[in-house]
Amino acid sequence: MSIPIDVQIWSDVQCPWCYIGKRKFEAAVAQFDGEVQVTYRSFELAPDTPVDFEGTPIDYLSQRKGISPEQAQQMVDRVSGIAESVGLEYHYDRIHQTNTVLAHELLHFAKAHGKQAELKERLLRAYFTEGGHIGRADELAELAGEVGLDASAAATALAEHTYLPDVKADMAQAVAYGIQGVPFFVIDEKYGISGAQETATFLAALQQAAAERDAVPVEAS
Amino acid sequence: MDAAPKPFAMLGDPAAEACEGDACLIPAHPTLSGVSTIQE
Repeated sequence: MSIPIDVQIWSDVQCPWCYIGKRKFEAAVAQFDGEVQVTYRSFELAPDTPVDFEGTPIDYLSQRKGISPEQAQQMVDRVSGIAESVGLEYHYDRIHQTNTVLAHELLHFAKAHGKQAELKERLLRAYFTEGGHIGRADELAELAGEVGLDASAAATALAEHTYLPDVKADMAQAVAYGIQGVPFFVIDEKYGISGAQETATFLAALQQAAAERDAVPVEAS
Repeated sequence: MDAAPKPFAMLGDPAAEACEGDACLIPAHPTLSGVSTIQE
């Protein structure tokens, strides 16, 4: 049995292109004739954002970027339309702009308990589609429970910041790699892919990584 | 954590959209679909 292709994905839970890129990447994996092992790595896009930002995402964008609400709305409409094209529903009218460090800590907790993929999808859906507040520990613990994790243990890990060092390590690794934007995919520690690329691009990268593995001669024991 | 950056080759369209902090929703290229980036 072959060893799965290793894919490390740096992303943030409130990154609209990360969710879109996730769908495009998953479509590539579905077409790929081989095993893929995915690990989500933490990347905080806006670590200075308060947990309870006062205002709507349109207010946030207008304030932070110095643009008009109309311009902010156009940006949101555009990304929402692209999300829809890959089967996602973005409801910016419900979104709670927040700080994502606890969500990242929870993703590491989930990784330690074999549920990272499930939690990643759950957090993204909660944030972009359902209007969930992914900056609050109580809601995060509840979401953890929904994917089969021990909600009480998750709450404790968040209260004690058990996995904060792992979040910081991921961020440090991102800096070391020169990663400035997300989503960012590292395939078999050989190839980097930045952004919500097309499915064909992801598929070609997986196939290339697999072909190179096959080309490596096996040493006689 | 690895001590040094891995020398990996970049694949795909360099203009694909991603998030970079506050630039998250700004299209880097009007005809492409998206990246989100880090905050200054």
